[in-house]
Amino acid sequence: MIALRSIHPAWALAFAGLLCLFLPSFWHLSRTIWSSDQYGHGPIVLVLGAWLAWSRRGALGPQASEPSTWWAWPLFVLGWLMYVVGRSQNVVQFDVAALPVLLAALIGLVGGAPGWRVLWFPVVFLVFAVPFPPVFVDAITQPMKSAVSWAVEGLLSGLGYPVARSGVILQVGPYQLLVADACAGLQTLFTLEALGLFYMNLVRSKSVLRNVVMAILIVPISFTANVVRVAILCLITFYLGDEAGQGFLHGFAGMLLFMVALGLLLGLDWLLARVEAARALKGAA
Amino acid sequence: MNARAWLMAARRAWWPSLLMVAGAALAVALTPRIDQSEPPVDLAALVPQTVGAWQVQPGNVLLASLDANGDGDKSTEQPYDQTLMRTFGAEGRSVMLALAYTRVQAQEVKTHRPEVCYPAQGFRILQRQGVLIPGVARGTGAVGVPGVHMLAQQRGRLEAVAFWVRTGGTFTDSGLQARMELVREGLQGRTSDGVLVRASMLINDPAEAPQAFEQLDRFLQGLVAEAPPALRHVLVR
Repeated sequence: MIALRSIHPAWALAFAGLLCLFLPSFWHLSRTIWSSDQYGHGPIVLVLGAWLAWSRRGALGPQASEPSTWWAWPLFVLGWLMYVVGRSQNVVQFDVAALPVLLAALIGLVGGAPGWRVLWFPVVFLVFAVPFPPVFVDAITQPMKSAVSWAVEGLLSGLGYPVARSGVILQVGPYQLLVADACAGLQTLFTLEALGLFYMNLVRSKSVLRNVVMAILIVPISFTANVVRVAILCLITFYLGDEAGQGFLHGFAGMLLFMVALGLLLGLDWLLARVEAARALKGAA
Repeated sequence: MNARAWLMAARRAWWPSLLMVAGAALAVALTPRIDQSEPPVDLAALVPQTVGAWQVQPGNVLLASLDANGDGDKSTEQPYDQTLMRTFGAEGRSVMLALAYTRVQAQEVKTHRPEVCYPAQGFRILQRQGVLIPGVARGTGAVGVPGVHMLAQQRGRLEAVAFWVRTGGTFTDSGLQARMELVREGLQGRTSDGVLVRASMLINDPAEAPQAFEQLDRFLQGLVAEAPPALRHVLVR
């Protein structure tokens, strides 16, 4: 209760209005794409974003004296239109994308420029909750699937397994495995990019270089982790049969993927920190 | 702090929150409810057994599935209310007919286009051309339907495909166009039905394609011409 009292009424009222808009959206999403494999990361991003914003509330301070920013109203109108069209016509991309846009507008209106300086990261972070436009998915998925199949073939044949590939179909021993859309790793890539940014924001490294290098390297890391996952699924099928490869071990391989990727990410960050420390030491000497 | 003081302190959020409540109400009001689709039809009963010289064949020629995933994954939903696949034969050749009908399309439940579902099943598209499929008599009195001729290959299998996609009252050339049509109609409160009409033929050589497309076009003309009115209204507008 004390925490709630400390929220300025203007923030509370704006937030209540936002809930009127987005509770129906979230209800709809939870019954559709959020419960699918492809966009299951949506609610996670939302919760992390909300937590980030909440953890910054202390830095907001009294904002009644700050003027609203000039871009707040145009942005509000844009977000409002996106929401009305997206929600009523069920264009989920518009519906969800309206959330960060409206949030940014409300922050500009209520908190002015100082409010935006405190809250910009959680707002930008929410962009990861927006479902990808189908045009984008279609364009990216096929090449990614081919690349994953190619890398898995290379990895397994390098390890001496009897593996052959035709397009996105892998033949491992007596089994044929189709690298499905979900295996392309587009969703994994976005989830990991989001988690990586979240982690970097928590660690708060001052170094721009370290942050940029990390953000870029998340892409090859998630690709590598995905190749490892598909290769492991192939091996599970090879040793234990089709049933095992499609059963609970399928989910297990998914978990493993995240652990591998997060492990690589943390290891990389540690390495970067060491390199920087060494360079700083050299500079001092 | 009493309620009045609280509201005064929240002055800055008055207009935004009022507009947001109005936006929520407007979105509900603009949700399309007018069903423009036909009363349910039974495709299997309505599609004729003969189309011109073409006779229905009982055999089981392998048809490319209508599923966009090709991996048996149903998570993007089976968008169709009714599908029909039938093989017709004449003079030793076969035409494969596939129909897929959806009564109420939505952004995430709309007709999959062959440009998407053929590659998903391992086909490579060698050629794709937007054409006016000639001679097809439409309900509006116009003749000819905007459709596509496509040549697809999967290892040894070469397939000439002629199709059109009807989204409500218009024929759409891409998924994006279909989506925009759904929004355009939806903002006026109307839902749109949709159908994929696809005829295809196996050929041995890409050089045979022009002739195959001509045969497919003629088959589709015949199909529409000989269809009972209820079926014709599903196929074309």
